[in-house]
Amino acid sequence: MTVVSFFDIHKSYGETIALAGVTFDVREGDVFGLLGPNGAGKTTLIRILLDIIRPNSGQVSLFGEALTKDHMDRVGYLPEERGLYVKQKVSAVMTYFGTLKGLSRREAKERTAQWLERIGLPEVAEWRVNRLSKGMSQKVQIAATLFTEPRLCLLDEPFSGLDPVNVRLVKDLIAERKRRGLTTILSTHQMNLVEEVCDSVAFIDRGLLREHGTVQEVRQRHSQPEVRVTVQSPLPELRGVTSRIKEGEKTWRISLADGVAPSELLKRIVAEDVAVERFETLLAPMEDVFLRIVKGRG
Amino acid sequence: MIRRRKVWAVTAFEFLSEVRKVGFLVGVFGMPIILLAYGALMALVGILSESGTPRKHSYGVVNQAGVAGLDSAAERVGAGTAAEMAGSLEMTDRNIQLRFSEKFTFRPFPDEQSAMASLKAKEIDGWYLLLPDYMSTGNVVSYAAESEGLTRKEPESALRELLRRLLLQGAVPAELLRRAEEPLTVSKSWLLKSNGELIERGMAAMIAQFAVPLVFAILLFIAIIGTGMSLVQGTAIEKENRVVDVLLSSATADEIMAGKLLGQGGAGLLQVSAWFGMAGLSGILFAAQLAPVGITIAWGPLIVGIVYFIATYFFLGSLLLGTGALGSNFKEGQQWSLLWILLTALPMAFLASFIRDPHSTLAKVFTWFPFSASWVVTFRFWMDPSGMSAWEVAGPLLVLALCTWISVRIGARLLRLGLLLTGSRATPAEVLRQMRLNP
Repeated sequence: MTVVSFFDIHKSYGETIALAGVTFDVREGDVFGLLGPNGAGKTTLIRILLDIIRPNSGQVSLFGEALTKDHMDRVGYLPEERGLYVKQKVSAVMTYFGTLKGLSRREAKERTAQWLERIGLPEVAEWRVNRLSKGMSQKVQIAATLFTEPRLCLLDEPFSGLDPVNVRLVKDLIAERKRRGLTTILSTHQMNLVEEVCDSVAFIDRGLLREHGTVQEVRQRHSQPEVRVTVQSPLPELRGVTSRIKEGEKTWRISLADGVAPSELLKRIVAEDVAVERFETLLAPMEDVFLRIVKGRG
Repeated sequence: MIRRRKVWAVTAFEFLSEVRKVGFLVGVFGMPIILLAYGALMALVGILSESGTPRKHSYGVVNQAGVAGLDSAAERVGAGTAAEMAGSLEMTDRNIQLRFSEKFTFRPFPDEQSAMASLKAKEIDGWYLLLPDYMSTGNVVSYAAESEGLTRKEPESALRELLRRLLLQGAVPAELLRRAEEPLTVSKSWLLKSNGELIERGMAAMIAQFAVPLVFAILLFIAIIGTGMSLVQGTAIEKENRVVDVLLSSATADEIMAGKLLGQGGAGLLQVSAWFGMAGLSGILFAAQLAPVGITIAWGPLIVGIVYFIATYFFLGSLLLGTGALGSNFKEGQQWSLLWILLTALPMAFLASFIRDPHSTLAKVFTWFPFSASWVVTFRFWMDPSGMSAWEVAGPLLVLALCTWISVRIGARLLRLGLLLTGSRATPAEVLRQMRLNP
């Protein structure tokens, strides 16, 4: 089922065009990466999805309905620049955000305690926010976004400022949402994490949708035709190969000629009576995809 | 459509955040104490200055008019040696003292050059030239040192008294002369209060009549401005911390504004109620001691003050919130809000006039001015309720209600705009442009 649907979204600020005909969908239960360089139009798109601003034209639907403010109780949002009241107590801020999302005060307080425990910070409940370290503050903010268990959650740079242990914690929280069928839209510049946690991505640049699809599809589209093969006997000369580099005792990295599919090459290797231990198609890392798209824009 | 649940969430947070601040408690309990301490300090300064020996001011006189006795009288006043002359000038001297709490001496000079030289040498504070045609025209030219400041009327009055005495001396009987110099001495003064009670008009009665309403008017003014500025500060912090995006992803700008107005207004109302309640309680506890000196708690003005606080707060608060949100930080928010503060404070410039005549045309005009109606009405109503008709108390409230209806709409639109302008500087041109782009 589609949770979010953008159709032909246009938004401009005076002469500046922020979004020019953006169309894509987000499936329920997916972890979706909203990617693009700074100033690409991601924040504008997020603000449109949160019903903070309206597009000049186009349609947005959420949970299968036309977007309204009433949907927002089921949407969580973690802004890139941390949105906490620095002079308030952690529990007071989380309770407030909970009640704003429709929880009762009592329920919000209970969940605050549970989630602070969950992120390993039960002791900070009565601390003022300005006493928290950057990492603590980030974790509290993430908890404040997720503790209402929103059906859709928008996380803008959720991993920034976190050490590897806490990156793992946040990845686990996102994975758990996925297991429960809840959708997460993630905006980040950490492409290695996109590969790890995202199912699908949309790449926006200068207000235009440049790429959209599963992470696998997008990486394939931007990858050179290369495979890595590990064999148990010497590798003979093969047709359809432009180059081969020995990476280990039995491992080769092979570049394919145009029109030769990796499966075709595998057939040819097997036909030569070579025992194949491991065969993998090499995909371009997301970072390369990012750079290719940004460099390739006209 | 405004969702009450969202408004209530914002209201509760804003109210609790405000009342839990140390500053709030200091304001509630500290402000009346500070004002009382300030009043006591001023009274003490007054008493001390009265009890001290005033500096003697010395002025020269060049008598080209030939006013009889001026040269010798002035000389002797200045020297202060001749007992009979001092006695004859006692009335003049006392009058001056009564009026200005200062004494003046006048020293004769034979010509303008010597008087000017003395002034330059700082031996005298100034000098007066009685022109030859003085008797027919009354023309006098005065010279004064720059350091004389704004008190030149005082020595002039003293000289006027002296000249009057000398001109009449010998021409009218002594008794008539004394009466002309001091035509009236108010031995006792009585005040008929609006409730029909007759009380002696002493210092306490003066305090009851002027100071008490003045203090309450100022407290009301402080409460309205203070509460309004809390709104501006809170919104500025939300913009700076980017909390605003989280809020706007949960509630509309109208809901946020309504919640903020109610929450902060509730805290402000609590503060005003506490102040007025303390006054009321004091009035009840010390009624026996205060009543004989004419100080009674005016419940009517207290209630009127609270009602007006609520109305003015919503009117001014919505404007402050809307314009304050246009700033990217608290300082800029304050700058945008300055206009409304100035309009509210404007009638303060005419406070002396209001005290002289609480029902003057000026006071009546500011009664209908929505920015200042709250404290002007309360002040006038407290000073003299009999001078205000019912419609003059209720009418401005209706005007305020109408203005509030308009200001809430304007404020909500500006707030919406201000919240969206996060990160960019709002110039008036940018605000207008955004208003066109986001109708």
